[in-house]
Amino acid sequence: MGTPDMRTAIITRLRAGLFALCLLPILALMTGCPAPTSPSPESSGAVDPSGLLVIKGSDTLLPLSQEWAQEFKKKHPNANITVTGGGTGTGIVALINGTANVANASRAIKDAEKKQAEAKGTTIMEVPVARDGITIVINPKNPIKEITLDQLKGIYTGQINNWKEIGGPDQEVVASGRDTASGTYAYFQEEVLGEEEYRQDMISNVSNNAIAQDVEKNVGGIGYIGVAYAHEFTRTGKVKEVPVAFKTGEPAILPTPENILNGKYPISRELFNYTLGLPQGITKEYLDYVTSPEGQAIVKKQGFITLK
Amino acid sequence: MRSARRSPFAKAGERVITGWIYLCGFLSIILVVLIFLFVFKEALPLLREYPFASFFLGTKWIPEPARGDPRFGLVPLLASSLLVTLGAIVIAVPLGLATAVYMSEIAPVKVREYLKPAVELLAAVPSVVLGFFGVAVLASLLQDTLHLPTGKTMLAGSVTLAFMAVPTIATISEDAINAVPRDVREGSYGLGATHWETIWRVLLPAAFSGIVAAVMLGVGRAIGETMVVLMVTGNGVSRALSDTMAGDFHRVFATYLGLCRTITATIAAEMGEVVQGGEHYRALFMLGVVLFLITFLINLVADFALRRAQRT
Repeated sequence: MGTPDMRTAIITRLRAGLFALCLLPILALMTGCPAPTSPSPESSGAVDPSGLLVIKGSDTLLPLSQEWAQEFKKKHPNANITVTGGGTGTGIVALINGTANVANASRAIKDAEKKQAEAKGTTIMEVPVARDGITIVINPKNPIKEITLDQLKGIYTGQINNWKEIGGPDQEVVASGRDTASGTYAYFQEEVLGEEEYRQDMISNVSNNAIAQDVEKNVGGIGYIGVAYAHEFTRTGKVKEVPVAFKTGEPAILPTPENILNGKYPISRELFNYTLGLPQGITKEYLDYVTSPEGQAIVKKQGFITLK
Repeated sequence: MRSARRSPFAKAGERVITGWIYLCGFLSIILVVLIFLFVFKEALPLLREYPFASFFLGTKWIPEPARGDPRFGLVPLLASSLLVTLGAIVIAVPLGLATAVYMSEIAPVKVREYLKPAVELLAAVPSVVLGFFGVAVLASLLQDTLHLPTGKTMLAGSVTLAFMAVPTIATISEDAINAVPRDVREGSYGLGATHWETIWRVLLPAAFSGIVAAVMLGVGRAIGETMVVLMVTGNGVSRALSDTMAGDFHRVFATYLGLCRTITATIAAEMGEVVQGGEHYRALFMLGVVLFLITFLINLVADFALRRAQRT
């Protein structure tokens, strides 16, 4: 039955191991909490355009925001800007909790979030920074030529489970989407699902990239990705963009810049930056730059659509 | 041992150091209690806003609904966590035990010298790296060979978790088998038992308590794992799982070929976006409490098994 030595050794190992295991979930919880040492939004209130600017939020806006920050730093070498993603919800929560100065958002702020800010004694200010469409992507092997908003709703709420139901091949639908932190997730739900709930078996991804990979791998796959991001994947032929129609019988439209700007493309939106209170100091400088012709030129260059 | 020659300073120093070591010993207990209290304190207010039964019996997890009230149903998450772990154990226990038996009883010394460190090294592979492997290789492989609509499945999660549990199970079981006294082994041969009979009828039963401990450690590692399942299982609730929860229990096998959404993955995916003190935040902490209780239970079972084995 084993020596006492070996038993003690095993019990010790067991205890140590299980103890560490007990800590794991807690660590997971704690890393999710914002660090208390991050700058408060007021710290950027100085007149000096140098200083720290923390930008957080939408993954859709991330590449655009990074290039703005880079160009802005060239003009203001003393400015120290960090840009991170995580999703619109993450950014707005960080703004309210005081761990970010600017929240990148790919949807308008929710009433609940406004109330949370008011409960902390501040108000949230909104600055539109660009426009964006949402491209619907499918697997290149899928012969579907166009899709209507109703069909999209059916697919993402779970009423449509096979492509043959909408004139495609006999192939099970595999819907990919974003996680709940994403602004694109919330916007798509509001605009396309008519505020119904997403199907329970949607694959929830933490990035646009992961959605594209899903659709590339799954013959029955479908996904939604911001236009600027989608270019990257449609260009290489890994996924295929589908024209979208408002209703059956109406023409299906591709998400080109013109179609998005003149409102012909059914799923387009404004992208925002949010601040706590009126922007001041480096935050104001940065937002002025973003909305300037120079900043908007970058919008166009990256494949987003400018405000005007 | 105190001696009269020592100065009072040395005595005081000794006392400080003894006290310090004493404190270190207790620190882990204090930490675990404090952490549990913290998680529990953060979670408890949920039950004021959200009914107890709806949390523990609810079959839908919709934390940020477009309309209406959020729903925090534990059942799909708990079922996913348990099923994915069960799958991992079914794969990992035979593999791990076989590895242990081979390493301790069959392999020549030369092979064992290289094999044991290699297996231990496998335990040190970061879980994110295994997750990459799971997504890039395993999921595609399963998708192609089983003709699945998507490779992100509970089965892919179970197999990747099994990779993580095998080294734990193998090394600790091997320790246990090795620790069986020589007399027992020689007695068995002396009675005319073959090599295989000795392993199967004598060594494995003798090392049983250690093997139970090894398996429990493997279970613990699998159920607490976050990154792998987040990356490989698609983080959704498959129709098979929905059917199973609705009472169609023979669909439970089909759940392995669909998505799943475990407790750990849900916490990791959603913690970043919640407002501190909000209902969603409390619900995630409540998930933490549930996870804590599960690992505690595993610990208890392992301890119980060890004690029982020691008595007989």
